Amino acid sequence: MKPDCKPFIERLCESLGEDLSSPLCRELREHLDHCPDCSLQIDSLKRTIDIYRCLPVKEIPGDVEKRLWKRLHLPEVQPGKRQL
Amino acid sequence: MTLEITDKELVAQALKGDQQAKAQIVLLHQELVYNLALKLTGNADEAENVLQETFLSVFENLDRFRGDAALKTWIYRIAANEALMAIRRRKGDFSFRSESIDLSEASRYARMLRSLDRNPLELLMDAEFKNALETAMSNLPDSWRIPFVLKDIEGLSLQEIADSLKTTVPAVKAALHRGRNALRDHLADFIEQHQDSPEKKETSS
Repeated sequence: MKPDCKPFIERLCESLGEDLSSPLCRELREHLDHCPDCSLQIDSLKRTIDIYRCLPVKEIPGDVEKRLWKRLHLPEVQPGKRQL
Repeated sequence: MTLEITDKELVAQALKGDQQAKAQIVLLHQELVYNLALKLTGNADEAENVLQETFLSVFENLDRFRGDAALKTWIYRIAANEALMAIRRRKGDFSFRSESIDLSEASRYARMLRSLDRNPLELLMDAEFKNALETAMSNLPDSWRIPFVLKDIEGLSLQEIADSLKTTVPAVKAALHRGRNALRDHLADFIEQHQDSPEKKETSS
């Protein structure tokens, strides 16, 4: 098993509702150590999740923001005066 | 210089009718709400509606904010509920579909991993790649997308997700598995079709 697969196995076991030291998780780890195909399955899923987590936050489109503030009856705040 | 103001102080001012305090609450949280709504509904129009309904609900119920959790967490919960209600209105209750998964694609996943290992930063800078990821997620059935977003992106527990969706933990696990597999396969497809990899260059030259 690749070293960076360990956190994923932990998450996988957690998803299965299993403790990391449970027989099922131990069995999973042992199998993955010797099975390149299953390692590929797990590793490719891990990378997919990682990439989705890295997707940047989307800015709210200007017209969407305008309609929100109008519906809330709030005064528009100029970008330069925003206190964030 | 801007003074730090606590959530409780900001809420107290907003409850007194201070429009600037209300504006500040919206400014601080509108991006979080919009992004969550967009991911959960997979639809820009619905996300806008959820955004508006969330803040209407926030201001209607502001006197119930006790300050036990951060204002951000409180607003997040309202937004997640609004998004789930919007999806229920659209399609009735959640249905957990099942679909067989093709487990015989090892070589395709190996190519995908090689490509991701080679240029992860380049890929994330690529607008077409980002668009493909977002489209794949929004095209998932609601019953797969929502557990994926709530668990893998937002970090909620399986029990929290099951409670929110009024279903069981095993049903959430099954849906999560389907969603992850479907997204991984979309990603592998995209890489196969669009990646101008050195391997392809070598074979084409």
